[in-house]
Amino acid sequence: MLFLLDPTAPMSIAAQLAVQVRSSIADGTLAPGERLPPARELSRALDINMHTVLRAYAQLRDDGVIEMRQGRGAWVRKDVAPGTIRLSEMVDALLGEARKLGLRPADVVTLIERRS
Amino acid sequence: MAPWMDDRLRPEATARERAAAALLWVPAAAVIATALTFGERLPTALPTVWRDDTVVATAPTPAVLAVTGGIALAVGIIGMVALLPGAARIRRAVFLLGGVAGGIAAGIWIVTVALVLTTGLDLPHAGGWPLLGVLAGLFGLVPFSVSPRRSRDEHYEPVQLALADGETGAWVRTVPVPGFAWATVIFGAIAAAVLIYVVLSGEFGAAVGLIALAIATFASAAFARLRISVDRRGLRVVSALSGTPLARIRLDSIRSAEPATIRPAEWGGWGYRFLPGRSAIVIARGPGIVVHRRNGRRFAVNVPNPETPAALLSALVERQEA
Repeated sequence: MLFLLDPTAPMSIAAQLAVQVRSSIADGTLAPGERLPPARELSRALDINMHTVLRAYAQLRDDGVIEMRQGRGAWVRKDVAPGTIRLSEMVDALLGEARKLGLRPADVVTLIERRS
Repeated sequence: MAPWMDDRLRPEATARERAAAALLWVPAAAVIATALTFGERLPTALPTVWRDDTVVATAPTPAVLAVTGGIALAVGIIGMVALLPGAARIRRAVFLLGGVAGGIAAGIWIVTVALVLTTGLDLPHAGGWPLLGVLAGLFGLVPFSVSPRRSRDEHYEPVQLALADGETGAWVRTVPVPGFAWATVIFGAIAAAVLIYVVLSGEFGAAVGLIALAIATFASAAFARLRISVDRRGLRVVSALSGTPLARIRLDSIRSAEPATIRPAEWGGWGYRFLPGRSAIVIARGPGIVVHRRNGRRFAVNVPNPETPAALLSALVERQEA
C-alpha cells in the first residue's frame, strides 16, 4: 500500500497514517488479514519516529481496524468490513465539519437522532 | 488467482473460446458417426500395428473403438473444463494439445475402418495410410487458431504521482511466493529425515549433506514471502519472514523506473537471476517493475499492480535530481 505524508498538513503525522490505512482498506488495496509493514521498517521508510507509527497503529487497534501482537507485528483484522471503515471515515468527516461550526459531538448525535 | 496477476485480467471465456471448445467435440462426433454407420460391416478384430506393410497386431473392434472414441470424448470434456476462469492462462494450449490428441485418435480410427472396408480384407496392407491417421493430429491447429491469443503482456497506463515539497512517500507490499514455500517444506522434510537417519545410524558422514539441505531450506524460506518496498532510500526486496535484505537498489543509483511485464525467458528463468548487465527476482511471468540504473544495469522484480510503486519511484528520483 502507498503512504504519503505531508508534514505541512494540519493533521498530525500519526493521524495521516491512520487515515491512509483506513482508506486503503476501504478501497480494497489492503485486504482483511493482510499484514501491515512493521513499525520500525515504515518509520525508516518515511523518515519519521517509530513511536509515531506505533501511535497510529494503536489508534487503529483501539478502533477495531487492526490487530497487534507484541513482537509479531500488526495486521488488518479478518472481521473488518470495508463498508464499516468507509462509514467511520464519513463519521470523522461529519465530526470535523461539526467542529468547524462549533457543534459538540453530542449536538451531532441529537441531529442524527432527529433524522431516524 | 495468483497475487502477481493483475486484477483487471478477465479470465472468463470469450465467444471464440467457446467456439474452439465446441470444435473439440468434432473428433468424438466423427468416431461415433463412423462407428454407427459402418459398425455392422466391421470384422470382430481390427489391425492396430503394421510392420513392413504386414499386420503384426490386432485388437477386438470394440476395444479399438473404446480407446479411440474414449480419447476423443475425453478431449471434448477437457475442452469444456478449459473454459473455466481458472484455466484462462493455459486455455489456448489445452485447445491445441486436445485437438492434436483428439485428431490423432479419430484419424487412426477412421483410417483403420476405411482400410478394412475399402479393401474388404480383415488384415489389409497399409501402405502409407496410417501416416494419414497421425497427420489428423493437425486438427489441433483448428481450435488453436479459432481461440484468440490471450496477451499476458499488459499495457500499463503511466500513473502520475506528484510529491509536494517536503511530502514523503513510501510504498510497501508483501507478496507470497507459493513455489518457494513448497520448496521450503520439501527441503525441510528431507533435512529432518536425514537428521533422524544420522542420529539413529551414527553415520556422521551424511551430516555434510545435512548442512547443504539446511542451507537450501533457509534459502527457499527467505524467498517464500517477499516484502517489496519503495521509499526515499530506493527499491528494496526483503524476506518478509526473516527480514533478510535480498536486493537493495539505492535511490541515487536509479535513473528511471517503469511498470512492465516480466518474462522469465528474458531474465534467465525463475528465482534470483544474475545476467551480464542485469539482475532480477522473477516469481512468475507477469507484472513487475523494471529499474534502469545510472551505471546502465537493470533490475526487475515481480509486483502486482506495479504502476503505483513505479510512479512513486520515478517521483522520488525526479525530486532527488531537482
